[in-house]
Amino acid sequence: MSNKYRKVAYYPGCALEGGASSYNRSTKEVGKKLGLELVELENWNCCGAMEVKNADPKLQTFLSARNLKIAEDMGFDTVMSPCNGCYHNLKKAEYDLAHDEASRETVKKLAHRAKTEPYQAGKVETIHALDWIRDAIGTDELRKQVRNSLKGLKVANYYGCMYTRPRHIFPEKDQGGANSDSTYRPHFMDDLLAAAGAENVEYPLKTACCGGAHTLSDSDTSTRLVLNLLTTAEACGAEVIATECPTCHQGLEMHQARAEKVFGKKTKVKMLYFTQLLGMALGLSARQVGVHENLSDSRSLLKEKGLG
Amino acid sequence: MNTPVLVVGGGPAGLSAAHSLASTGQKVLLVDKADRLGGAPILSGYAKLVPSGEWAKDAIGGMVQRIESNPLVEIQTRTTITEFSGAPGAFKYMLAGEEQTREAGATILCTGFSHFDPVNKPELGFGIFPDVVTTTQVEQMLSSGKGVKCLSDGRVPERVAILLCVGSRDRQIGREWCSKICCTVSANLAMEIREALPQCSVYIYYMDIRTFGLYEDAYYWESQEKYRVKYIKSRIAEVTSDGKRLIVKGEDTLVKRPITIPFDLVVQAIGMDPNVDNARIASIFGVELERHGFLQRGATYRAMGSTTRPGLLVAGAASGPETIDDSIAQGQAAAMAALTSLKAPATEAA
Amino acid sequence: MPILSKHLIRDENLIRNENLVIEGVDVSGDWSTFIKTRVVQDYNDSLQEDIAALPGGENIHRCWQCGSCTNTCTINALNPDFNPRYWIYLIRIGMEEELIRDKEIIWQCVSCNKCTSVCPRDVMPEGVMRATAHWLELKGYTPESPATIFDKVFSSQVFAKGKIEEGRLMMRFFKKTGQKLTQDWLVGLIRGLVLRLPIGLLTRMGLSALIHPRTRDWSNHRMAIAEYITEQKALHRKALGLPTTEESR
Repeated sequence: MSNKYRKVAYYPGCALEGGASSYNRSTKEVGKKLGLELVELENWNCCGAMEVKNADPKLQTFLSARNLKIAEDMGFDTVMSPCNGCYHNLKKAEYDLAHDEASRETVKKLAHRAKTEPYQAGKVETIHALDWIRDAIGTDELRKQVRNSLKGLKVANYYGCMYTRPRHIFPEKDQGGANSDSTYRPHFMDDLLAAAGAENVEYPLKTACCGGAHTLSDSDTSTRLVLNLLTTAEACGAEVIATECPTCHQGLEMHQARAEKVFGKKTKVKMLYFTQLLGMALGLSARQVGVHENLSDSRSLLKEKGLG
Repeated sequence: MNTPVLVVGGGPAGLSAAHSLASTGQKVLLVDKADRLGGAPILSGYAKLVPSGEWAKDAIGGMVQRIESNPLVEIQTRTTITEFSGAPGAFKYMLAGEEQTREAGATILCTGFSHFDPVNKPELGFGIFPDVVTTTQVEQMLSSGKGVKCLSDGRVPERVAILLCVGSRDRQIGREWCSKICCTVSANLAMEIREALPQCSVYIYYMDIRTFGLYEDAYYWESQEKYRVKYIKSRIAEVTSDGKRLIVKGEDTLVKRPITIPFDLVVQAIGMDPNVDNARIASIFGVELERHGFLQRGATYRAMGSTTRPGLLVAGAASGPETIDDSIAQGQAAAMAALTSLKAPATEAA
Repeated sequence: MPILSKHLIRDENLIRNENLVIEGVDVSGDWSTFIKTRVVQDYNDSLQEDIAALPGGENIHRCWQCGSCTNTCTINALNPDFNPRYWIYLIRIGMEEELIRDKEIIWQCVSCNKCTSVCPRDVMPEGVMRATAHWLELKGYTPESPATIFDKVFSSQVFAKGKIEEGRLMMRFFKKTGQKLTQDWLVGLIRGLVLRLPIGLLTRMGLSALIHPRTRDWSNHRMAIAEYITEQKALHRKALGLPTTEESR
């Protein structure tokens, strides 16, 4: 166990404050259980999600940079976000501010007009909740702390798009070795859940797209993409799809229901945030990690597996 | 003529430079970090060379023998240079493990290149599927006499895909150069495969075909006209498997149609990277690297083989992707430049 | 001569004569089906520059047609007509008419960034798709797509408050696109959720739907963003040769 990331700034983002409250709850509970400290960014704003860039990509950079600046002003050099969208956008802002003069100029101009100081690249490192637990605790230590092993639970680990693409905004990935995640076959979540006892299945669609960007505006496309993710997970023998992104997670839940209602295609595989699975393995109850707050109901499976 | 010229690297360029110097009576110290001379063609086990069609072990092996039997050439393998200083005409350097400083009137860097490591393009399946191999591995299959086979189960492939530009011409992985020789080498390999396995179909997936100069008809045309190698204009995005064969996915851009084609063997035409040791080489020898990481050339026309440091010369793929025959020519040119600098250091020092 | 593979030819390019006699032989009906010669009448020289002037389209000139984007495309796998490589070619050459044939689907890009991750020239095809969809709307070739409407509803919430609230976002989007506010498939899900949730949490969620979550002291940001958007809009319309004074569609 290292001192790395034991106390970091926490950026939950809008989704975790809203519909993905269970991801927020389970992340905080797991942190508490593991003795890690999260300090929420004061007065943060939306990162821009997937929509603001379509209005103007530099506005997304501005919005994300504001959050990085808050972390810096609070005295942190690391900000952790469990949401792939937030994580991605903060990473992208960091990359653009470091490499693109036009982005720097626009952020400077906007910050000036908003009467604030602009964020400058290189001050704050953005990490995902996966990096956080993996680097602060590590799989060996995690294994020791497991009270209620996920043994016998067959899990497909699903990472989605924003955790891995485009690869140039994640310079720390693809460096080879176990300590650098892969953008093609990511494994950090697999590693953590394996340490918690889960039986990870070989899932070829780890980084496939769930259509989250058009989940409401082009629902049929999203449903087809999600259905493919679900049926493949089932074909791989998974009982649960572990997620680490609120948009993906809720997309899977909503379009599983929609596939059944609209396409007449029923799938049984359940969805749980990886922090919910980890939390239960660490001895927290299903209620403590907010399983009842998920849109989909996975309580029967957990009961059957003696979890939570 | 008594102080040996230092030649660093014993591949085609270094062998050629050392031989040229020695044939004028000049002493040479030839250093190589590997356990034997020959460079990439020997160490990586190349098969038949472009354009002569000679086996690498004969052609380059012959150059090695010629050097090894030359009394004017001292050979130091399994070693590197640890220190280098001085000015043209009077360089001082030290070999790893030695305590005595050595001297050189001139020095030629023939430190070559590294093959691109295709694990950096994981979506193309290398390191994941045993039947995804590199052009270098196919060269070895041919040169060892074992024949072209699938590594998974030893079966003879019925259908082979060669993917061009793996590790070349790709901004995403910081390789913005063309590796120059892979198109021709791939066409050559395709013909060799077709000759050895007439029942096997070979497909080449390309973005552009760059069989430059006289290689156009000898390789590109020949491979299509005589050997019926099929060329498909598409850059493959992903290699997967259906459990039995490899699946190559892409779009045939000329007919605007998605393709999902089964193959027994997928060959990646891997590019030429700067030598992985170039950062160290640059710092020890005090030379600059160009923006891709190869050794920066000095004057382009005035002095063949100059680097950014006066009196220090470069030849072969150390300064950018290069063919074997041009590396050999550059080795000779650098030898000439070295001799010139020894005779008239003042005029050549610039 | 009969055309066996009619499915490969667009309907509008098929010519069929009901009464046709050639050299004394009656070849009426199916026998007289011909393909209309297709000729590109003109190139639109400014098409590439138009796209390059819109956010995301900046690097389109780099494309060398390798096909990586289409090869890896999530939507292409569902619909082979969704072909970024082909559209980039049409834009670069200036074949506007051909591009507009696909105007109904270009907006369907899901921004999975597979293309941008794999493109050897860093064209950022995902951005080009966005710029192209934007261009089609600005030029009046397509009405605002549901995706654009969603982006606008979403962004306006962020710009106004600093944060979003999902319930309100959904409702506003369904309303703007003329859809039922109570989508059947959603209702079932939410009903199940409500039954499971404790009262306290329900109250909190209800409150957040009533009282919009917001970032404090946001007004300066709101004004800065609004000013910037107005400037950018004017720039984009100018680049496309559209009157800058007209309200954006």
